Amino acid sequence: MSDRYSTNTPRIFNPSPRTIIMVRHGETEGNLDDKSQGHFDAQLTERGRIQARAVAERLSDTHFDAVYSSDLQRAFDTAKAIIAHHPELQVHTRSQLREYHFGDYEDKDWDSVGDADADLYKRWKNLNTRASIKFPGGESMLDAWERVGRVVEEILTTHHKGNESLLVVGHGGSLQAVLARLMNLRITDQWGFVFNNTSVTVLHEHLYTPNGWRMVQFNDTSHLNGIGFTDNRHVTARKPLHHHHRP
Amino acid sequence: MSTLSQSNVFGAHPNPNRRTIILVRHGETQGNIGGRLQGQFDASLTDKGVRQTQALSRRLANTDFNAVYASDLQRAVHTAQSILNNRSNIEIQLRSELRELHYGAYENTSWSVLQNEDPPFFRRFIEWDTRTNARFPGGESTTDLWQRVGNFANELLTNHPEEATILIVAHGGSLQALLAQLLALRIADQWRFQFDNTSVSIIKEHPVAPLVWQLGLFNDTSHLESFNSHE
Repeated sequence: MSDRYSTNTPRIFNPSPRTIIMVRHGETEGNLDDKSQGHFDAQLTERGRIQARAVAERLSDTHFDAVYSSDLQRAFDTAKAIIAHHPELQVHTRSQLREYHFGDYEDKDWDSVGDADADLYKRWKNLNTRASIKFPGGESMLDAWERVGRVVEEILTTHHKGNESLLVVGHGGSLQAVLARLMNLRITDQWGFVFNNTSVTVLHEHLYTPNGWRMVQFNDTSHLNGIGFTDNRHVTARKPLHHHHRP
Repeated sequence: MSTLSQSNVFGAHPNPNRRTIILVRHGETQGNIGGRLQGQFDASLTDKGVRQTQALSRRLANTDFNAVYASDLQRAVHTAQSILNNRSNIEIQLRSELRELHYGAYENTSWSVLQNEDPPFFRRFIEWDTRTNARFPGGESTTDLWQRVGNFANELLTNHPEEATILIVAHGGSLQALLAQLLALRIADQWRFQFDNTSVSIIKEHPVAPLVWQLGLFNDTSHLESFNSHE
């Protein structure tokens, strides 16, 4: 391009586009039993550890400049499995990448949350009213949106030389906020994206748009074929999908 | 494999008519390789594009569709035919509303021609912040595309009010508009989604709330992995 700053030439805001790869933690007992979990520090199940090794194998040839993870065990263990293939890296843990804090409803069956507070449960289930929720003794959706926004800001300002490849390991809820923050979506838009255990999601920066993050892959679990639980490949109208939807 | 029931995740009142839409972009054309604005120019698939659609067909061989819609441009029609691979029980419904953006005077030219002949317009279109209302001379704006794809989406959801798996085969631009409208995003959000040739994306209606859609898979091209390694 002859003159990238002339008024007629597109302005290149991101000459060296960065890449962010997001991975949700592996399966836990709470995922299987439909529990809220939140900040409750659940361990990976045996299958969750197998899933973590599978995603680690899959990402073994991928270059990362930095790795950020929630400090909760299920995320940190998933991140550690991945960097086992990348001995030069360390995991930067960030509490801002934790799941929502469900307060009085931490580590509860969602059914029992519905029994205890039908109105709250209904507003939680309805994605159009979810943004108004504050869990008693815990977080509001707005609090979570703000804290995830702060860690996204930290990551983007820390790694701004260009062409960086950054890994973020988190939870269904916190990764929805990371994704929506990067893609400049509204708080209510984030729940339109369902992350399965150990799924891989990739965003690239767009050359011509400031903060122009672009989704090139979402919720890919092809590394789990044969391991089970999250296979999107064999979709039929009649058979239930074997993948786990977070509420 | 887990047999986890999805309905118990959301309580006792699951949406009984939960619909699934599978979005597929057409296979490679010469214009995809050459940096051209194809739009509604009726390009055919390259040899590689044909092989991409065959790999896709194998991948979706066990997937039952209740309905199949495709853009009536041949690169989409050919891709849809290849997926169905002579299944006898289903017809492809062609819809002009699913066509790519009409580039008007710049149909089937290259982006560099546009850049040389009309630099201010090129800039308005390339930068996302100004793209929405950039109408090609003699052609469409992305707002026009958004509206015609929205009309199609309304027709689709009216035609299929009950549980169904619906395949849509179309173009990068029309799929962006369709996905963004199903996810209730704003018009300028649609460019955040990059659809590659023969990619598979899956969007499902919320288990409880009708007309609330969630993305379950985006731009998956894992069926091309072994294929690409032989290129």
